[in-house]
Amino acid sequence: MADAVLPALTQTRVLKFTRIRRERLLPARGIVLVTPGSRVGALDVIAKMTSAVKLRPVPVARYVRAKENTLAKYLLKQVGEDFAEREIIVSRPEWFGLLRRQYRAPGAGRLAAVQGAWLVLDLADADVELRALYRGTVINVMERQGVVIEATGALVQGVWGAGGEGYGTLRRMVEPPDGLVTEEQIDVSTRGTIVIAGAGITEGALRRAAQERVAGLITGSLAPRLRQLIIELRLPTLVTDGFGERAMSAPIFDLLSKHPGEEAIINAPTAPLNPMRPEVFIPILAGIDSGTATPPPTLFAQVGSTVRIIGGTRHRQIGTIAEIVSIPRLLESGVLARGAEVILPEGERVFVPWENLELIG
Amino acid sequence: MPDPQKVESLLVADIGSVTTKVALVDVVNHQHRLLSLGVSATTARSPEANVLAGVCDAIRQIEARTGRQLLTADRQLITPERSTLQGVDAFVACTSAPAPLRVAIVGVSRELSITSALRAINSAHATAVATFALDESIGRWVPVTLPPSPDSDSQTPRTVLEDPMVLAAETLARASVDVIVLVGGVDGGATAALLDLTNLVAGIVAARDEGARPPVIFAGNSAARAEVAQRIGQLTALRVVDNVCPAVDCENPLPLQHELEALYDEKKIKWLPGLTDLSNWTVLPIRSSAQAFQNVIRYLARRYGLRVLGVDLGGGATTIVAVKGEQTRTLLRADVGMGHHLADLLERVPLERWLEWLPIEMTDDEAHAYWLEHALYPRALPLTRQETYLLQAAARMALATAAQDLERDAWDLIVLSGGTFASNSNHGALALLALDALQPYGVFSLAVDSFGLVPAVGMLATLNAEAAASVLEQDSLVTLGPVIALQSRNREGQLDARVRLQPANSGPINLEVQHGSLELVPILSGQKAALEVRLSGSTTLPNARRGVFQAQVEGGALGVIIDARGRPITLPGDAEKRRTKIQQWYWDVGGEVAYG
Repeated sequence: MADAVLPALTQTRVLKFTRIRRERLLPARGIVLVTPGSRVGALDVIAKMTSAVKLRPVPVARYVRAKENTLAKYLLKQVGEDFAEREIIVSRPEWFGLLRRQYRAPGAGRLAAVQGAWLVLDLADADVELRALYRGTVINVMERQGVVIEATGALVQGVWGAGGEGYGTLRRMVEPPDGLVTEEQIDVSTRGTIVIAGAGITEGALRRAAQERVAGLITGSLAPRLRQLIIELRLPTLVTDGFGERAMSAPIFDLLSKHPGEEAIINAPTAPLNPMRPEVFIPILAGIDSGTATPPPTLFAQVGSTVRIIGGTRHRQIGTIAEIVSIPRLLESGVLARGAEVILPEGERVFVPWENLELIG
Repeated sequence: MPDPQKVESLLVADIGSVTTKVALVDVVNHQHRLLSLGVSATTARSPEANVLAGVCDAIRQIEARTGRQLLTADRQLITPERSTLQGVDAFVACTSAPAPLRVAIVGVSRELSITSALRAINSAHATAVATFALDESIGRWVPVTLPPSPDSDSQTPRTVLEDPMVLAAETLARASVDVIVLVGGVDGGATAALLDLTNLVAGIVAARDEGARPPVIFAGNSAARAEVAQRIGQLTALRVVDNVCPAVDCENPLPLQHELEALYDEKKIKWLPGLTDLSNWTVLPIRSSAQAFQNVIRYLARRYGLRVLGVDLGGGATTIVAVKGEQTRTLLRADVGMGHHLADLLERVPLERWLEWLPIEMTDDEAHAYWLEHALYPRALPLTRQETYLLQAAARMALATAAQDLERDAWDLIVLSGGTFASNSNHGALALLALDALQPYGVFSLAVDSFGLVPAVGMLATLNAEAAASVLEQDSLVTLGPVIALQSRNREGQLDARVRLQPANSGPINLEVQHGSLELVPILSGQKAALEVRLSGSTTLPNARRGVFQAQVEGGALGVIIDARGRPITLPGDAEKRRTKIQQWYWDVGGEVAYG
């Protein structure tokens, strides 16, 4: 019997104009500053929290040479009370009050707990502000946590990202999609822009980009040795195709090339297990030249679907599913696999296992 | 729960971090057999964020291949089986999809209690993310460079002296953890230091919002239990288990390991997206794949009276189970696997060591890029011979890293499981991979889990042991053959041993085994043969008497494997010679076959 069920494949969304919803959440509980229906810009602060928890346990009884059970009477602050930097928190008299052993706060904060010989200080940090990032409309507010924003625009998902969030105007630095961005191309004029590279970027250019405070980097490929450097530099980066030195996929390069100088954002969390795919979003107002944006339709593997090949001699090539092959085939690698026949743009037809296909579109 | 003896048809599922496998098992000729297998991507994360989607996808594949309806139109499992051959009698599942427990360890001594606690953590689905050892945190204050304050006039960094104990406590307090493990002291010993640590833990817990307080497991000096409970019990959930280090020369990590496993079930598995729906189908609670895998290895050890080593190289974790008699040791590396962990492993293990195992010339960047991309697409199959070499080199590194804490020991059977070993007909290459990565020594059998179903079968065993045994032995495990792995100080080309194999119904096979060689002896699968190994001067083999080892062996898919490369295997320093040598080994074990 023919295998009529097609497996769900991984998907990379590349959409010229779409409507998306994104959650924007604080790392811990705070205050939401917007209401449902609010229009927000990318840099608008939509929520904030006083500070992230920054605990510092201190064995203070040892410092002031007090016994655990007597420490309480030397405390000048009670649990929950605030203190300023260098303020004395503990003071123990010695030599009939002629001398005092004291402990001063290492920074401003709050006394969070006292337990035995230990004080636990919660040192205040700068307020954490959450920006909207996606220009659009707030459609849902989760009390003390964050919001859901609906936005219209172009969306490109990447395969790897790091460096967090970036906002700037798009600036294409290469002409063909296999161009490499070099150090000479990065100067003060790139400050605040999101740089678009093709087949990659040199190490010098990357370091210069961080120095010049480039807002972000979108590249088709990334040299593997630069992966860790990008994490360390915390430069918001989106890799659209993979590691190595191959050209950016034509549909992605074409899409990004259509928006020179326009504002865009990169959302590229570094954590490997973060469920969110790293992405670039270019806000476009609905109805100007693209009609009404609709949410992206779900992609299915079927004859006619656009797919990207993962691995093999046609690695990263984009083609179309021509035929579903119901009988497993033995690969050169010795693996027996089910898959599909894919037609490549040059007309070549190749068998690719389902595991090595990714829906794109 | 249905009567296990009356359960005939079943679906067994293993929801991995990368792949979900579902197998249909039913009775054929009075025996439970594997009828069909469906494999799909695990859908625990967005966009689906519901593991049921992946499970249903795999079940639909089984329906299409067998013509048997298992799901209703609204994705409900048809159970029990109907007379019209629809549905199944039962469904069981295990999973390794949730992230591991993030554990902080607080203890008195790095060498004693913390080492024992780490052993328990490395045997459960957990990762130690912060460690506070009292004996390491006492000492001279250390200089620490601080960034300039934003409101300060000076923009030069400042250097201040800090108490190492405060620095360690700060790291502990700021770590995002699922549980804190408190250990220290031998039973009946002094409690002062332990109670000071208890105060530290209590302070850290109390400083957090009530809803964000992690539970604490106390596995230290039993004499301190009451005081620990008094200090921590009213702040957060406290679990008390036996001391991990009850005496200076005694270790007892099992109770802590079991408690961590229970916590993993409660805090991770139960919260897996879609698990509530799936739990309505199952007749048994969904357990961790590592526990299910352990069930199978223990079963094999008990049933055949063997010393068994099981290795499950998964996408998100690697499990190694060693069973000898009543003793079971589990090593679970939740940070080593063939999925996204490969990218981290590439940071930890120098690239040169990965490249050493490639038989072909390739640039560092090319190989590095392939491994990083495999971390992004862990389900992707190797399409070419070159990709096979790359993937197997990565598997060698992952397996060797996971097994580095395993004591060198002699085994009777080594079972290889996981995605790398499943659905790959190149048995020679798989055997070579295992021998290179684990470097076992002695005479033992190698078996491979050909469908990657051993963990799921372990779950089936908890419902119907007979059914599980039947599927395991007849459908799941393929014996590659006995391996004779010699140890010697000989030089390359010198005689290590003379081997004589006398098959039951044919003439004897005599071999002179030279040091550095790897050979396959063509004994048919299932054919019995008398083995005699006469060792040369410096060559050793466990259980050899006066330089002679004798045993009855049974041929496997590869016949009999003789590995005289010595232990540890030494690779030539010259890159060209090394590649030639590894290529030769691939040829020697038949791992170099042209397919497709």
